[in-house]
Amino acid sequence: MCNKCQKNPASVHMQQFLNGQKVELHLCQECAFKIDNPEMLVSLENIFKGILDQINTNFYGHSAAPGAPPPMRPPAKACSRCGMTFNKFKTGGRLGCDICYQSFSKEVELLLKNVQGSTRHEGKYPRRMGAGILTQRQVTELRAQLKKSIEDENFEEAARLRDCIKELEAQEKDLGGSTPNPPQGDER
Amino acid sequence: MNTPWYQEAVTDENEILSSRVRLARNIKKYPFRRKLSTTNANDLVAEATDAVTSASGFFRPLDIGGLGKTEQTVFLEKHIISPEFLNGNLPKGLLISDNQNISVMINEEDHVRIQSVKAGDCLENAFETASQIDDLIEERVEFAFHTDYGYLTACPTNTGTGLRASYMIHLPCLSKSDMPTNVLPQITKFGVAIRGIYGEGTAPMGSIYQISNQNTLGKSEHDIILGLQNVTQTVIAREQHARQKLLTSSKPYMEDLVHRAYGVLTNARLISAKEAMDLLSDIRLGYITGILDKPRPSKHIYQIMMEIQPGHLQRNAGTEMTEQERDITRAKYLREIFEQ
Repeated sequence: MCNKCQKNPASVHMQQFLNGQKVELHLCQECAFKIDNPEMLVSLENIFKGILDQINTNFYGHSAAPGAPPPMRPPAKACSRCGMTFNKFKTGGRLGCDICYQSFSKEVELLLKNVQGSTRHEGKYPRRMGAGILTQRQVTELRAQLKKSIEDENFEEAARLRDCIKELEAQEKDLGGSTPNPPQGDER
Repeated sequence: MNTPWYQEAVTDENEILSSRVRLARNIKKYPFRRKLSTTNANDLVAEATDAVTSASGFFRPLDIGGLGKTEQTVFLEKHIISPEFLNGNLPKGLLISDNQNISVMINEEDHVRIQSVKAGDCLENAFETASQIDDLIEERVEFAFHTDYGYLTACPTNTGTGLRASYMIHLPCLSKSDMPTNVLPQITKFGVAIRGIYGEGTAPMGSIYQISNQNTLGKSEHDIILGLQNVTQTVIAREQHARQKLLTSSKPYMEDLVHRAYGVLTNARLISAKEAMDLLSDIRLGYITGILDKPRPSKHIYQIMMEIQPGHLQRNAGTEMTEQERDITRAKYLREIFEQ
């Protein structure tokens, strides 16, 4: 039986190796034809399922032990821009719009950490964002160093880093204070 | 250079046939495809098409919906479009360069997917091209971008750089030895995915594989490409080692394999795509190792592999064919191309 449509008999048998794990997929001709991207081969449900169940447990307390604290937030939350619900995302594996990344920020953060191994973009950025984004990246980096210096009780270094941060923030203000991603509200 | 990548001689020279880069982007003012209305989709296609064509003079819009099924299959076989792109009824757009090496799919899983392919080992170059197109489009539309997460995509597996870089590689000797049991499980631990480009899993047709990065976030585009290059070089070294081992310990077997493949391809009257692909793979190996001393066919081996696929065969014949008719036509095409 086809793993994807659960209707037709499976006639194409695929294997893919992901993170050293073998994943097998048995598909009918029709579904096999639709699969092209490597990321699609192992169905997203497979990749996400474990992680999303973990999120459900952590945030919504679905499988919390008796006496555990109440769920952190109601599970029926929907994206303020597109109306996508977390449950729909869970079954479909696709977000509805850019604001979904904020509407489900905690879940997305955990998901990215698990699927991508990181939550911080290091690549190119739109030119229109100008120098602001570079400054912001530097400030984030310096803040992390500052935190470590304070933990290490290296106060001289901490004072130097704090001055650097202040200077960068002042520079950014002079540039027009271009915040690459101002808090985005509902656009429609 | 204005030839399609598969017509370049370098595709016949070593393990790497081509380098491919895809960038995924979404336009901020529209929701992602899952939440896109038909009206929104129409506006999106018009706006993105306009941005791409005005960004660069060399793109030509192509009405993919208006093409017949055979012509659509040809685009799939050339890997210019994805099966996902043909799904659903929402409006979509396709823009391609004259030599078809650069293309932009509008309203695939993401609003904009820029693809750049080059012959041989040329990944940075392919990325540079895609990135330039990205910059030019971005001057005209605002992409969804987050300071921490980078470019926002419909699927979180593409978030960040939106970059999928891949090599198409030919691994005939590894396929015959320890590819499925040893090599695949090992290399995929290093953040890459590997799969057959035609056909199934560990024993793909023609021993042609696509190797690509899995993660798109947390590393710069340059580092993602570098990581993929390193793993690919390791795989190639394994292939060359396997080849050397076969050549020293089993030369008669190799010679028989290659000449037998040539014999069948130049004489068969009925041949399936799978059998033909596997024989072409052995012949490619024969030319590279010098075992095969016959004149080279008038087209490069990968181009022949593509042209014996169902879509290409039917397009070139100008008619739809049954499986048996295709097998006859394929056999005839192969005899002619090797006898020229």
